[in-house]
Amino acid sequence: MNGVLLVDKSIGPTSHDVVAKVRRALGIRSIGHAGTLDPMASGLLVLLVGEATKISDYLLNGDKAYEVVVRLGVRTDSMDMTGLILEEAPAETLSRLTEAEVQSAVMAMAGTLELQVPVHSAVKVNGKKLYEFAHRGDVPEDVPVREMSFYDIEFRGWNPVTFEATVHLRSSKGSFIRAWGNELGRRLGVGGSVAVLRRTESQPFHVGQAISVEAIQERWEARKSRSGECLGSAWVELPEALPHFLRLEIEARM
Amino acid sequence: MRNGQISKGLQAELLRHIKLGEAPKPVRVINSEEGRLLALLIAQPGEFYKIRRVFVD
Repeated sequence: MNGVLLVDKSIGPTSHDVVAKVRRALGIRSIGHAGTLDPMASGLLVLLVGEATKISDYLLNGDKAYEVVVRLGVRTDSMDMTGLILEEAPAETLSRLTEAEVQSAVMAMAGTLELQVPVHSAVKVNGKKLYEFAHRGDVPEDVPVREMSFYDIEFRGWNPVTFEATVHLRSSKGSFIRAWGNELGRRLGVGGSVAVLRRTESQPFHVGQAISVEAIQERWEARKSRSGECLGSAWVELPEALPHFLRLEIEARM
Repeated sequence: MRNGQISKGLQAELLRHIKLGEAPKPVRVINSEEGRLLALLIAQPGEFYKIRRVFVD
């Protein structure tokens, strides 16, 4: 069985936990994923099954889309609400923020931005992953700043009670949504951290095609053949997994 | 089909799809009888296509 399996990951498990569960469910060892989704994030996780593990490079380069909720007024060490709170803005300051101000700041954050990568990330400094330093409480001073691209930004709402802005956006490879949320808070002068993150696209796939790990387990147990057909739209056969590649049909002997 | 090698027949077929002035698109080679993915071909700037991945059953 060779192809791409589209999982709608729930909040909580790591991407590796999902891979391990699906390996057990399908009884297939050769499964990997194309692009980590943090434990606190939900949504589309692209799994590569069998020979499809060889196409990871060509899927990792694809742009991704997310729905993100940024909590304004809170700055944490991980740039999301699972981290240690470093700074909190007073409620009076936050209550003065208007929806128009927040929307304007959000919409100004389209394009290529130079942002510091989150210290809780797998980006390497001096040969070591940043999160390894962070877990020891020994964050290097030279945390890399890199160009990150965000586009197709849609402002979806502002909650004046929880001080949360909801946004849908697309990003290029190597861009961190947590860094974007942190920068939004900085620009508004109150700090900001990602409270909710859901991946909706990992080009060329959409979360609407994906199913939960539990649904995969149920459908696989009830299957009639050893093909991925029972998984419906969540299963993409290997020849169709790179639709942006030109399709060239040849006779086997060519 | 092996890593790095492209047969004359496949080369001729690829040339039919290359448009002058356009960057060559990456290609997936499919077995027309079984519908199986055989290989991925990528052309680097200034170079002809090379086989980058080969797939087995």
